[in-house]
Amino acid sequence: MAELRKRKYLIAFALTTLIFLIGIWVGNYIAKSYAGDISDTQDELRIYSLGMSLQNELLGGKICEIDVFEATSEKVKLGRMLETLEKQTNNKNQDLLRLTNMYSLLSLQQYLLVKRQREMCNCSVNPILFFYDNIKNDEESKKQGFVLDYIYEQYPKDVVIYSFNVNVHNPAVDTLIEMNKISDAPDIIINGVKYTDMLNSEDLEKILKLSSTGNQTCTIPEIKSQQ
Amino acid sequence: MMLIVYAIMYLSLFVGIFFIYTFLENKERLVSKTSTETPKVSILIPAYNEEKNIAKTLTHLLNLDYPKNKLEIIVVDDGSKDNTAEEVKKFKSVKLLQKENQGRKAYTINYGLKHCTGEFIWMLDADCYTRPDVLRKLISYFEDPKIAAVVPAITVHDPKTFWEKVQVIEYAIGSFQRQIMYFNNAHIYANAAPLVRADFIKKYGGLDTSTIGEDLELGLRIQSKGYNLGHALDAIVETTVPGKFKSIFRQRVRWTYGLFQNLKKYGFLFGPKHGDLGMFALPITLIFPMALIFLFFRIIFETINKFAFGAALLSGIDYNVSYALYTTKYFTITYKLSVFLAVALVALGLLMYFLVKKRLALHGKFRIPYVFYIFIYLWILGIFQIVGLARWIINKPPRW
Repeated sequence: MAELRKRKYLIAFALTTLIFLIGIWVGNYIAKSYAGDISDTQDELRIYSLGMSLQNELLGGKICEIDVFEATSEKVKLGRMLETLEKQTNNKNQDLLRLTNMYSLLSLQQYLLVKRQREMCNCSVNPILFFYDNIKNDEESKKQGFVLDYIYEQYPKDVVIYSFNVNVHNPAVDTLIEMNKISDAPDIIINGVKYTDMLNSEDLEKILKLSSTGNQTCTIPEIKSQQ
Repeated sequence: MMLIVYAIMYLSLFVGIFFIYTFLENKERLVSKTSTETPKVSILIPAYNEEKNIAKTLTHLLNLDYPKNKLEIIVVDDGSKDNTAEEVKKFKSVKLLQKENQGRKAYTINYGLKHCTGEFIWMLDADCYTRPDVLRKLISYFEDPKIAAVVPAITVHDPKTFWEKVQVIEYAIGSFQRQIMYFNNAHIYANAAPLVRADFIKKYGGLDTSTIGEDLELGLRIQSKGYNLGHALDAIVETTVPGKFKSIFRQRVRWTYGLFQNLKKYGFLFGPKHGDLGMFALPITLIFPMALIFLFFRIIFETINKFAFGAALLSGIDYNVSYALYTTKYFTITYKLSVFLAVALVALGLLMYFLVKKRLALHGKFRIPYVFYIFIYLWILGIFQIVGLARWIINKPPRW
């Protein structure tokens, strides 16, 4: 029987496995370190949001005087950082889910304030709820998110977008999903109306009655969708 | 699907590391001895329409550092339609045989073998230019009675076109890989210029005329009979290569066809009974073309998917291309394990190339051809493999 030089194969196998493990370790290290950065940013936003709620209490409900959107640039930055983290890890990464969870709560908090301002302060800004599913319908969610980003960029004074990942669970977001009867994301809620089919830019402009001149009558945030 | 990609990358890394480890472990064996023994050698050259190359080939042979009375140079003119015969006749010490063309080099070689009287037979292509020290180096390998044949390192002669320079890289890495296979007694490619024991030919026959890859068949036959095929990295023979894509395509399709023909014929060599040959060399010879084909199709599929997705995104925003370009500012480079491994593979390939570059005395700048070889040419090879494999499956031999 011809010779099989096992020792050399074992050495090559060990070195190959080592390189693989180093690759995996590097990926995990980068993702963890990035998640740490996101967490720090999120903490800042959380503190600011808490401050806004307390401000509302102190002002005795004079909500029209609250500038809800000063925190939005941080929230926008946070959304993009979460997108990058998702690309570096995978949809089921625990750090990503935790951070997305917190992002959802901060978005919801802002949405509720904006909704009340719209009702009480005669503000014409259109808040859009965007529910996406990055596990079952990732591609469709990305397409819809791209269109929503576009609409925001074209009409930054008229539109605010709040994104919620249906795979992230907490009582508040779950209630929001249940209230709006979301079963098969991506779905969009505009002024209480649910849209389940893919909406392109033209559709959204018609629904929102948007024009290039804009019709905003109050300050609106620079909030972008996460997807 | 990504699991298969990672498996292929793992296997590629494994083979690359194995090769480099073997190379470094056997550094002292890289230097060939120079034989003081000078047995009679018959140099057999099949020639078909080689009027442009044959004189140069013969001139180089006559410059070999070897006793002229121990050399027998035979050119078999395979029904050339040009002035090959006339060119050969200018060399008085060269024997010219002429026969009708039968379409395959194997027939020509076998015809010539009947006229060889040497103890060793050197089957040389008509466009191979030998360096003076090659033959003595090759002869030294036969001190090992297990060696039935030995091949020199083949490099590209005077590369001018871009495609020729890319093949310099291909041939260099090929030489590296064959050297490693020899160190593991698993070398199987007796291509371009094998020096063979006449006794082996007498006992087991000349080239196989039923297969397109007769050089690979010879190497596998040598292994199947319990012998080894040597490889001398520092015994260099230069050859001309196709300078245009169409010619390269035809040649590589032929090689792939021959590969699968011979792997099927010598399928019994797979397995633990044949040591490194059966458990490593042959399996990777089979797996890698298949892996390349798989990756090629995957890349095409992913590219089409990306374009389709991009088109869908654009259609959602009324084809506002300037916005789409604007969003690229948010593009961030993210870490991917597959990219890390790809970089590791490229680094290994670079290391292989540099390990042989000096030994093969490769001169000139090959940086751009190297980059092209790694990022594009290997994938083009995938197309060749697909066509060659398809032709083999439907039993339609490729044309010359």
